[in-house]
Amino acid sequence: MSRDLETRLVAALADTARRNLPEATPVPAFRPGSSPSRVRAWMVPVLAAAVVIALTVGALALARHWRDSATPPAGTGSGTVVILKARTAGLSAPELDQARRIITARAAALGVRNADVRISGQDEITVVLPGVSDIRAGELGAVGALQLRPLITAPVPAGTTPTARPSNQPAREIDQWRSLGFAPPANAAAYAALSPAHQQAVQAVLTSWDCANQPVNSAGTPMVTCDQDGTKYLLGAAIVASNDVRSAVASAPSVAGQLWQVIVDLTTSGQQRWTSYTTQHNDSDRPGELANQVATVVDGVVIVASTIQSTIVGSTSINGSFDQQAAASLAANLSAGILPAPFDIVSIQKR
Amino acid sequence: MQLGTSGTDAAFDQLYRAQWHNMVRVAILLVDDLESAKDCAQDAFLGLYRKPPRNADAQLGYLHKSVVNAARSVLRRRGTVRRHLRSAELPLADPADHPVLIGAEHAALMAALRQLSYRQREVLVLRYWSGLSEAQIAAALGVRPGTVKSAASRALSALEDKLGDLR
Repeated sequence: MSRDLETRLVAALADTARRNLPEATPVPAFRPGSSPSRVRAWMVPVLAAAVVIALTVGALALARHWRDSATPPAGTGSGTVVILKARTAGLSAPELDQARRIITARAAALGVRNADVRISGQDEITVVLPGVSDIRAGELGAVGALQLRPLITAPVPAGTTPTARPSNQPAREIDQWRSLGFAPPANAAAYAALSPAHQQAVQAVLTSWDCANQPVNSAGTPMVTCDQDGTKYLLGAAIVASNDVRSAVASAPSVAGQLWQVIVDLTTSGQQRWTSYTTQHNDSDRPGELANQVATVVDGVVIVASTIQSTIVGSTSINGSFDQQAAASLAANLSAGILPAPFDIVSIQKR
Repeated sequence: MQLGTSGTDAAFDQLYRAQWHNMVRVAILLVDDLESAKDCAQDAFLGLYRKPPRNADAQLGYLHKSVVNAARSVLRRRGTVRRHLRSAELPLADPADHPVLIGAEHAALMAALRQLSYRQREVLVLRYWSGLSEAQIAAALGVRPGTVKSAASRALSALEDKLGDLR
């Protein structure tokens, strides 16, 4: 059920109409003789005095109503209303409130003025974005977890395994290493140290993986996952994870018409770890090593796999074939904190 | 006054019973007063009884149109009362003698609705409570069908603005 103005109006009118004339009210006998409106007209001046008291009482009651009722969202003529529902049922009140604050921050990061984000039901948040019709509003509900993971072996291009999942079916979360029998390799070096039989077993997990499923995503554990095209990646433990991210901004291309970037700044400890990794694994010093390749993973999906050219001492830029909206959306999602659960879109309405 | 045959009376009676609640409710949403709303409905049915249109569609259209007109008369008369009271510097609430009850969560919206013009309020009630088609709304309000859609969206915008003012 959407919460936009029309739906609220329907609800308010229906409730008021029925509240004041319940269905059970008996239909009075029809009297063709008199016209009641003429009868009442002469009472108007008499009513004036009596009504003074009623007015005051009525006004006070109204004022109490206005104060007690939920204030409606602000809005200009146009805008977007997004209703989000947590994929995990039964979020606690603090979690839901945290989600509300994060989504509010994301809307602000996207430059929306007077965004109204409120909890509108069990596990449900309604976002009113006035004057907005051109942002990826539906991505507000993404968890927003960034990981940088090293590649372990070469990616497997999309093949016969299905890559698209019908969007209204929830993905199954699968523990990929459950039947492995040994600890999966955390990086390329650990993989190289495995026996051929164990290496084959790991490769089997990679090749048999169905991109329609969702891997259990733990930062310290390697993971098989896919990109948007269905290419499959065997990725090591995360070098940088979401709690290492301090901020992210969308960056315009220097040449118009080129792609946008997302520039990520890390926390001090995250930057130390990242700088250390890029010092040891870059193409300038050790050309061609697989460990120089790192996948940018957002919410378990590979956005882009890139090669570290040289030590990175400052910001890291993500070049994921972004247009302006995609870059802005990702930057907003990475900046404001991660949601306690992914929120799916119930409805997006433009008006 | 024309009394029809018993057949016509029975048909009117059936329509009256079927539509009484509906018409009173439309009036409630326009005039915010239960007794006045009942009077509006009574006036509408009286007119229908005196000059019954031929087919059911026309009858329903006539009822809506009459209720809308009756409601306007009520509101205009009430405006007279309001002018009397303005000197007392009381807040501009409706001087309804039987004010309608409103659920707390709808109070702001109904208050904003009251601040719209007669025409805007009528369009919204006929569209979002009665669920009338554009043609039916046009007939009830005496406007061209092509103007109903834009009138409705303008009314919604106005409602939104009033809601914003009430924050």
